[in-house]
Amino acid sequence: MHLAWGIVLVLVAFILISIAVKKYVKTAEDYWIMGRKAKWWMFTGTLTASYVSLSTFIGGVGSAWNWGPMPFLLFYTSSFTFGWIIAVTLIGLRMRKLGVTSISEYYKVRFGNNGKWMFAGLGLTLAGILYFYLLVQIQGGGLILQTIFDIPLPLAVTIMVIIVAFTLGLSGMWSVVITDTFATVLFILIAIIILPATISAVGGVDAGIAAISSFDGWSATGSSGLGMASFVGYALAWLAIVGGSPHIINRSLIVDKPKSVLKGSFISYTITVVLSILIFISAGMLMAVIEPGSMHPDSISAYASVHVWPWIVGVLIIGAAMSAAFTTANTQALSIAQGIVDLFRYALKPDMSDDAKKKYTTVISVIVLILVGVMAFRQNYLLIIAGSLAGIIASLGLFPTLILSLYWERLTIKAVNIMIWLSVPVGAFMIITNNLWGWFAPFPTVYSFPIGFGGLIILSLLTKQTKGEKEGYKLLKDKGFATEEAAPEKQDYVILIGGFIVVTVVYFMLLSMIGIF
Amino acid sequence: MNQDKNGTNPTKKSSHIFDIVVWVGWVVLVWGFLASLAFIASPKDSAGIHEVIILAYFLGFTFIFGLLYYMALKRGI
Repeated sequence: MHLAWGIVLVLVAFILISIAVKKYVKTAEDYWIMGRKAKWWMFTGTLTASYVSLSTFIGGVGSAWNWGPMPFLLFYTSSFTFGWIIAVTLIGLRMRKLGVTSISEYYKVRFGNNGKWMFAGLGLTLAGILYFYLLVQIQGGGLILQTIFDIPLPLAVTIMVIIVAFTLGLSGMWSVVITDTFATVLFILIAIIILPATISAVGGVDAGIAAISSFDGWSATGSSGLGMASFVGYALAWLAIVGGSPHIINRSLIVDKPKSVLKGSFISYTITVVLSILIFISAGMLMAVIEPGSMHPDSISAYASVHVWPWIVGVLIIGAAMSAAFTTANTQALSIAQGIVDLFRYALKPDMSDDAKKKYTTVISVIVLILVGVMAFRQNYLLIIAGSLAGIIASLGLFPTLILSLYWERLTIKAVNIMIWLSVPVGAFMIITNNLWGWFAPFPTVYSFPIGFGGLIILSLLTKQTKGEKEGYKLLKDKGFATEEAAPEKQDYVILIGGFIVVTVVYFMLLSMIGIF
Repeated sequence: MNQDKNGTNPTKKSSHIFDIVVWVGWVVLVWGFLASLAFIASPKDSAGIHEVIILAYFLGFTFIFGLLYYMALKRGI
């Protein structure tokens, strides 16, 4: 079957890429952050592949087909956009300028603290946030393999885990970034062909637009039946997930110079937004040939790839979905491992050698992937709430501590430790009671944000500030917030203007196509 | 330029201008956007004002992102 070839080629390409870049990985810093050698275009590639995940090609396509194109776009607009800029520009860039190599190291520098409770708490919360997110990607990738190759889910998940572990173990962040960049090329190809291919497959623009209209698929909420309050809750959840997302923030640490962060992320945003809009509008048009509700929304990508889209689009979509799962999973596993290794190297084994740091990271990444893989053998209840749970945990602990640490000198490490440690059990309590009994309605993040920020402020005021905390804040202001010349080039202005033109053209083209004018 | 070992070259005082643009942008754009969708009705059986607003949000955010990039080029990063 031709779709199988798409997956095989992608996975073989990822293995070959990881083998090819292994020669660049000599130190732990190479393994963790590419030795800060990432050019702006690599940053573009890795950031794009990080944002474009299974939720784009599987969940998003299914949602747009089932409810209409706007609900998922609304979700995307209200949360991903500013979460992105907060993670990359406000948090990641400052960490990059401070010269730290991980999120845990940032806390060490910012609070002048080496306590094992802080590193253990951070390790727990990083694992808590990323574990559930990683579970979705590993199981999603497994479901694609299961569907296309007609194999049992445990076997499919095992194959996924083995390949991710092998490539990550081989070359660390180098593997992550270069495979991400390869995947981004696939995403760009899809952005170019998805709309014309869909229009052709459904019998023309008018047929596609009329189908969305006939199923009441327009407006912000489409035929979802959800109220705007739900979208506000999701917006807050995903602001915290993306804004405080360790694997996104880590990306900012790999660049060769600070300017590459803004340059690479502006291009990445342009690619991602154009791709997302075109995919979701196209997926909405599938209503013309596949009646909404006739199958599980998560199956629609695979079904349309076989029965609706031309074979080349099907191969690209399934290959890209596999890439998206793969490239999101590998960096999340790496980020969890970094958090655990930081606990060892700072709090328990301060004389850890560079080689040992690299080996520990590799081994722990593999263990994390195996543990998540076992959980992913069965589709279970946990998977349904996994994304929301990650958002609630992040909004209770990691996200507010990161934000307040940037702007509020009085924030104390004792307050941070308490909120970080509480975030996982309290987050689990909120999401479980919300699902079982409707507590914390309409969505737990409406409560977890004020609890997170409020708790930190009150606890900080009740605890004594240390000298290390004051000095860490001063260092952050002196180095992290210091500005430097960006050395503008003609290419920068071409990119800026080009980005505006692309997004503006897409905007007016789509408004014209859907009949606004 | 004299770059330190992190590849950075601090030459100016600390600046919060990026932060101000991002947080003001978040308050105005995201909450204005959600409020306008909540209070302005739009048809479900044909494309209407909600589609214009949602797609315009992407355009607006591109300009905010572009503004940050432009500020970095002009004022330093």
